[in-house]
Amino acid sequence: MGLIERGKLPKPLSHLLGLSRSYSLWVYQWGLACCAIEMGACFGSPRYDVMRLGVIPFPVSPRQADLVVVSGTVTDKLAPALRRLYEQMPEPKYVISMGSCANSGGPYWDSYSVTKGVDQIIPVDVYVPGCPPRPEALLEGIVMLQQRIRDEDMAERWKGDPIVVG
Amino acid sequence: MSSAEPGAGDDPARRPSLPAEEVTDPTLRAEVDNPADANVPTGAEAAPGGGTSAADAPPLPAAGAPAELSSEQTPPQGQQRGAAGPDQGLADVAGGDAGSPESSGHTGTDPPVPAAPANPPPVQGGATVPEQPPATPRAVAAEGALARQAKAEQADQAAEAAAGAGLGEEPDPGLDQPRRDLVERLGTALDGGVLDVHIVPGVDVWVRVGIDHWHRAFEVCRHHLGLTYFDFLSAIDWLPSPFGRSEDTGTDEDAGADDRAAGPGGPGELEHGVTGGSTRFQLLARLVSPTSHLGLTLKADVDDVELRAPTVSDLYPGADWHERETWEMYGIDFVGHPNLVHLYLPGAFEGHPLRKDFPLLAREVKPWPGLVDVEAMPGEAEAASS
Repeated sequence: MGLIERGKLPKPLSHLLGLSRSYSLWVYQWGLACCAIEMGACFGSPRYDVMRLGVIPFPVSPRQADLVVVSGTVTDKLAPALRRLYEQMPEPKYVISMGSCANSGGPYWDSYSVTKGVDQIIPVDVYVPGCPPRPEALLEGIVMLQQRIRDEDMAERWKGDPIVVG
Repeated sequence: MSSAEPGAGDDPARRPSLPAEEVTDPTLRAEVDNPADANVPTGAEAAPGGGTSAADAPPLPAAGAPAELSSEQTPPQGQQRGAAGPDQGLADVAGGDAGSPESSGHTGTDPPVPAAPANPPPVQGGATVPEQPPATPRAVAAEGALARQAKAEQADQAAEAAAGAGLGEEPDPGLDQPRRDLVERLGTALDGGVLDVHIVPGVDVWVRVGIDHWHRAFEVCRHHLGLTYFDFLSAIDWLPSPFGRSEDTGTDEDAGADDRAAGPGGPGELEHGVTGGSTRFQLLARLVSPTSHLGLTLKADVDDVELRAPTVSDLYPGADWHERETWEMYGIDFVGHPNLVHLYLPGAFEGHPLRKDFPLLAREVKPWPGLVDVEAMPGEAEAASS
């Protein structure tokens, strides 16, 4: 594994590793508002069946999670807790911001208490727009994230450089 | 005058349930007899019409807008109702009178037919009705006008009599007297602490007390009035928004224009709610009795300079967090509160966000896009005019 860290993994192996990582994402559900209902439908119901994508919504703690879905309104009071949650996750870690509130503050953009976008607190890989987004939208966001994981240069990622948000 | 056919728009289904004693009222009997003499068809419509107006008029004020009255002004509620009842009843009936007298003659005659043999005494006039052919009234429509006018007056009297006798299904007497008692007992216990009372009969009651009596009022409510359930405690900032039109107006008027003209920070003229007030901030709290299900909303003015009030969390432990919230949102200090720290806001938060003059910084940068045409923000207007 030292090869990976030094960025010297052969290309086929790197591809394989990315593929396997993308299909075993343990996702931590950080549901904060109405978006959490849609997230629950997406992760918890057989209708959408997120586990067919290899996403496992069962980690008992952020320390076992690869991905956190922030769905709902992040307030300034909650922001430190969210930051701590992100710091507890092991690398490589990914973040999906779900819904208008988490993306930008949404309808609460002028509130005195709402954080205007979770990307002010933690780096975000995928933004899922909607108020709230349908479960299909979240599924699409997950698929996009998986594509990103497969395409990513692990050496760069694991060296600890900051993720480019977008 | 056109309101003389109260039975026209009425639901015939109600009539069989008419209490006998209502129609045996002398005024009604006279009413029944009189048109019967004048002409046949109007007599037909008079019998059910007069009866239903007497029966229906009292519930109308309750079903429609409940008469708002202050207990100080009009304690005897029966009079108020008796005055309001017939008016509303007649107005309502007049609306249903759009049809011609002929049609009303039809609707008037039909229902009593089966009812007449069933209860002879009440519908004595009605007993003669079935013999009147329903087709004839057309000819006597004009003649019936005079009789109708007379009937209108009699209907008034009948309705008044009915209301005065407590007939009908009005909810007020049953629900409102307890509220009145509640306020009276509170006022007695506070000994002059009650500044204003607002009762909506059958709905709710608001009591404004002096801030010095705030704690005592809660004590009385909890220990003597049975209002043991604490619903909420909060405050109102009556200051018109100094930032102009906003979500709080819902109209195109600039609520804060006068205040800005008066000078920065001036409170301007405050417009208070139902129990009045004299200061910018008002506390309000709601207490409910879990047994009688009566609620009471207490209000108190908070001094403009010394923004403080006694805590009531010693009486109602549930008030603890409500007072913390009110403290951080409005800056009202609760003397004696055991743990007056931030509840919702981050610890380092500055300002009191639910005050009307708390600036929403995001709006300083970008006007609220929720309005169709966005007003100029403070500063922009001056820049545009100059």
